[in-house]
Amino acid sequence: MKGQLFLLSPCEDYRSVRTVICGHSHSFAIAHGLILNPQHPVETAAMAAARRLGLAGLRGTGMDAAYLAAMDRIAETKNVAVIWDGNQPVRHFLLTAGRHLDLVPRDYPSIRVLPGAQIVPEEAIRAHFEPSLAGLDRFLARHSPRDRTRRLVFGIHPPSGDDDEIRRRLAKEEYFVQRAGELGLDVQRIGITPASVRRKLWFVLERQMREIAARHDAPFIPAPAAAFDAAGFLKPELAGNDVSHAGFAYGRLIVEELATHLEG
Amino acid sequence: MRKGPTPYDEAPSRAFWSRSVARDFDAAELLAPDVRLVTGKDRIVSAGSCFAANVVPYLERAGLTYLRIEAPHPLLNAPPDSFGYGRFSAAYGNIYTVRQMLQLLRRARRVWKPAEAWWEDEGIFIDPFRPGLQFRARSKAEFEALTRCHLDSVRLAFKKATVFVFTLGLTEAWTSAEDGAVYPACPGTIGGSFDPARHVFHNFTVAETIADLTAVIAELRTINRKLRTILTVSPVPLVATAGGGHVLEATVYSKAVLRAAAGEVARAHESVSYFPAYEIVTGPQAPSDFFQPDRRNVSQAALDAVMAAFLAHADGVADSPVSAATSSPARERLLSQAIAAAECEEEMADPYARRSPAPEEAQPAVSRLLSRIRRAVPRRSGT
Repeated sequence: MKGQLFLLSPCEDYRSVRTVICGHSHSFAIAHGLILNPQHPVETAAMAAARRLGLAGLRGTGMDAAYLAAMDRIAETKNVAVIWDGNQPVRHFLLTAGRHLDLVPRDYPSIRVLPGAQIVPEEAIRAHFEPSLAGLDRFLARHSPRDRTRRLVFGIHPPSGDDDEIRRRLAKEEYFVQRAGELGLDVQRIGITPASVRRKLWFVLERQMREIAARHDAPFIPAPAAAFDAAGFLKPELAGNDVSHAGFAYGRLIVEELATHLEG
Repeated sequence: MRKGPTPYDEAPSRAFWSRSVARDFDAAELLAPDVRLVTGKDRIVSAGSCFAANVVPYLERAGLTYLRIEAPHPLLNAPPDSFGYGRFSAAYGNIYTVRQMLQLLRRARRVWKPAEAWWEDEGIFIDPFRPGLQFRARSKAEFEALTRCHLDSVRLAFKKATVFVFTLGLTEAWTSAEDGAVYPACPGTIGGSFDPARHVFHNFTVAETIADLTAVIAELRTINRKLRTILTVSPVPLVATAGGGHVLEATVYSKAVLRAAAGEVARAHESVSYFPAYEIVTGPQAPSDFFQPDRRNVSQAALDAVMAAFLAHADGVADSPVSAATSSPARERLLSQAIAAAECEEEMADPYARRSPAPEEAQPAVSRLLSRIRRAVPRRSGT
């Protein structure tokens, strides 16, 4: 199947599929929430909802031209629920070789900042993220809501608050090993951006996604409340196998959230 | 008939116009041969008008250490800032008047707080003292955190430095009627809105400037007792005057006040010296091409001459740090106009400049060149 596009779905055929979940790597866990998998081989509420509502997940080639073309084709006849990137805070800000940055985003519940951190404007962070969200904006502009089809935008799961776990996983990921090298340090010794800042970066990115969705009248599906621990981070049991992604259990949660939106 | 020796008899050649200006002029001789302004061990901070920013690349290329305490965070990939906030040791942008510098230091030491600390415009919080910042605060809490961080950086820059190069630019300023806070630009030209009841024009006198400069030295000594200060006066004329007279007369007044004050304060304080950049560029000996055709913007040749003289009095600098101009006059002019349009708040005082920042025929070149300007070393022009 590698290199080929395919749909993950409990539906019997393509005609009964009404909504397709697609997008960057985070859609993997969500799409797998629609079907049985070896880690959780029992029928779930998410699967039942998927069958009832005709949900499918587009998988296969990664976010390349073929995948984007397939998204465009699907969007002509079916609802599309998009998850767009979402790894920017981790990819660009997790590893740090110098002074920490911090920010005070508008509407964020706390205005506390790290002592000694360089405070950067929220607008600068937004400008940093903006180019990576342009594709979402263009996709939604190309596929404005029509008679029978809807566009939905998924938010991104909250970041992990477990520094030790992140550090354990870092060394296993080629991207971060290389990135640490670019910053002139070994991945085992490099600094990681504190959890409080990771959460603020996630908050800003999520706001930007919401705003893009609102501009195109696309419903926004945030990370479900059940995904957050008491401090506002991703519950450890919902984490995936790497630094960036959530696991199938999170996928099932957000499929239920999607179902609520579609049925609401 | 002479009756005996006079003080002129033993004076060196540099004391005589006929021997040191009328012929064989050497700008380095404006300072006594034994004067050492900086050494390779110094850590330099600077502040002043656009002209002050233009000299920084020369210092860095000469191998001197220019402190940059408030650079953009390395993880952040954002467009370069405008109005020169990245061109100085901390992101204070252009400091045009001595009072503005004094207030910055007092804010950095938390001993003074302006009554009008921000301007709010549809949920955006504008810093009246840095109105051209590219990224503005989206809440009061964010504004306060950003300002705190900035002022900490200012204090740290002066604490770590060994030499402060301060270029005096203007005496005219717009101030707060409430507490005398001095703005870098007239409110309403870049940010905020002008209110004649709250914003008043002031042209500082020589007595005020001397008092402010003396207070600046005192503030600096509070932060860092070992800091030495080098005063210079920007040779660049005013963009516009709000004093009611002719801009040329206002320029000469302004520069005369600043020059007199700098000299007096330098004579009064051992830790302060004066470097005659103003004289090198504007003196009768200066070639006509030290100014560009607008007779305001300073040319590459002028900057080269100023910095060659400065570095002649520096120890431990790299060989041949002052570049020969390599670009064409037309390109120089476009670069100069583009820099002025992009990075000089004072330019905003000219309504024509605000509406039309560059001549029509230069516009495409300006936009193309702006991205290259950031890399252009040294900067070509400004106030």
